[in-house]
Amino acid sequence: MSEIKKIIKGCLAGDRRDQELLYRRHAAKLYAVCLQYSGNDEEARDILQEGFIKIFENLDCYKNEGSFEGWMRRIVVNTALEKFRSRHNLYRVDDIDTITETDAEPDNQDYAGLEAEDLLNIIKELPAKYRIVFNLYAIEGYSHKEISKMVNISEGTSKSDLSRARAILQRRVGSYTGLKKKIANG
Amino acid sequence: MVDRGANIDIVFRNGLKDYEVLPPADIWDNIHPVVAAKRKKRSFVFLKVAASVAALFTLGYIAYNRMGNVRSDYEISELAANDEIRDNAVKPFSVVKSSSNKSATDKTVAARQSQIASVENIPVDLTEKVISVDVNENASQTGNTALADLIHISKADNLTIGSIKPLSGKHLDSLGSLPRKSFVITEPEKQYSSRYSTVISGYGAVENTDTWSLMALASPTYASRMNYANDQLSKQLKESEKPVISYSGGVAFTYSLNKRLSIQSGLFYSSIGQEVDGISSFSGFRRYDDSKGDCNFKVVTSSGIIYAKNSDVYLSDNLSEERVLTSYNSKVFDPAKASLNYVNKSIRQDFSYLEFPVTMRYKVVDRTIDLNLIGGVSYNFLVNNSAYTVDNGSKYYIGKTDGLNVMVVSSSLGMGVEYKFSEKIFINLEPTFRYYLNPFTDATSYKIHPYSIGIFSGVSYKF
Repeated sequence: MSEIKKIIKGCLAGDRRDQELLYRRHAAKLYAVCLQYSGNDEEARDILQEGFIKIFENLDCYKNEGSFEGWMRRIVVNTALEKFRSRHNLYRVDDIDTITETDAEPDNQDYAGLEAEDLLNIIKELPAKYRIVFNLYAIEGYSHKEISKMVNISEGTSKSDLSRARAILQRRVGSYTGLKKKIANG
Repeated sequence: MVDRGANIDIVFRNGLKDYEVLPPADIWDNIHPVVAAKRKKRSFVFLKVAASVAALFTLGYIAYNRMGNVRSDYEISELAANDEIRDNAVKPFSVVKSSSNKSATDKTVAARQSQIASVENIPVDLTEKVISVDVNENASQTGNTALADLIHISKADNLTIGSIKPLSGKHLDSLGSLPRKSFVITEPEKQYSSRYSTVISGYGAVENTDTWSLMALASPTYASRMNYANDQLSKQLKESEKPVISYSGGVAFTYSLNKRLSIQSGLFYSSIGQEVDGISSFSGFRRYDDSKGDCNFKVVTSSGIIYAKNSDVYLSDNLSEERVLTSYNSKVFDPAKASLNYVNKSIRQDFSYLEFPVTMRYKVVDRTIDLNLIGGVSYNFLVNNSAYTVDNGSKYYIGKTDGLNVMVVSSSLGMGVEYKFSEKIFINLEPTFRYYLNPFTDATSYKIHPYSIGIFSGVSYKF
């Protein structure tokens, strides 16, 4: 039996040490996910806390099918979406401007030298609605149809948000890399 | 556009893959209490429901019973107040009242109770066309007004002569020597017979003046559990855990609410346990134990995790290696090579509870051998919890089961046979089924509810 299965069984049996062990092993990775979906550290902290409470409460629903880490990640992402929906319940389809080709920078940039921390900072600066759609589509791999149901928007809005998010990210990545090069060159 | 977009997607997807950020240190401190509290809250829902049902049932019945008594008293007063009208209007049977004084009436009621209780052959169902009640015609003339107070026999006799049984008690001594008559309630008096039905049945409730009884009971109990979970581990645990015969015993007081219904409470000590099969235990591990301050072996059971507090014990799972959580598993430690002493192949868990039952008893058959239906709830407080194995007939201590609920609520249903050994002493035999409304522990998610079957036997003394 794998170690994670033993830990899960310990958690199911109410073993506080196994519960803490599970948390310590996965909290850092899941906290990074929370930061991707939230605009600030405080919100990320809330998502992580609520997410882990749900994980422990629903641990008996995990059927040992598929990745346990993936299962936990889905719970955390869903928690982030709940937070987003509750804070942006006036998010309407017609709020979104249609993206134009000219919004996007030509993608001939050099992304070298960008650390994960830089990427996280860039993504955190996105407006919430763009950040959510970009994360769900580009990172999690959901389709626009799925995203439209998850975030309660139309597919068209999802596509528009994604385009707008990409355009913003490309600009900011460019600024970041430029800035980093300047710093490196003194 | 699409390619450019996909490119930036890949940058972020790959860049953030496996990225980790240490969360603030205090988050875990906020998570664990919430998880623990939610588990406890779930258990309290069970307790609240059980306690509310028991309290409502008990209070409701007592209130109903009291209302019944008030109604009977009212009937007597009403009958008395309309005596004279009926005395003239209805013949040959009527009711008269000899005193309007309240205290006198109370005394009379008490006297009625004892006398009517002594009269035998009173039909239970007064709605029948004809009933016979033995009375003394001249009771009122001899100063024994109690019986005459209740029933006055008119001079217009269409009555049949019957026999009267000797009445006991000093009030009835003189009555027994006087001429006796019995009477018939005929069809026209049906409206009165219905009233008397209420009155007499009210008195009938105090036929037995012993309202309290003290009972001592003991029973061997067979305990098992209902498993509502379908996951593999729960099934495996169920297969490897076997019930063992335990015992239960204590004393209880019973208060009779009326002739048939009584409420019972008391104090019982009950032990319940199980045998966890396929866990081998060895002694002599202490010399290999390098860790300090923590237990080396934990055993997953449906009742919670056993923490092996005994640092000299080595445990291994013979069936699947999934139930014993340890870093000293068979890959890194061989008890045979280490020359440990084999003790046993199973572990026993014992849980002892002090039990406060609140049960209702309904007498279905009221003969020399009574038959009672028994049901109620018990509040069980954990007083002992141990895990051990048996080594040549003696206990070899292993540890304790963690996370057990300090209080569990159980419901019970039984059927009791009560044999009248003497006027005051009864012998009881009560097969009882008990189902635990909440599990022994809420720490596990296995949804396993214990139940037990016992045959309680003992004696009761009525006073």
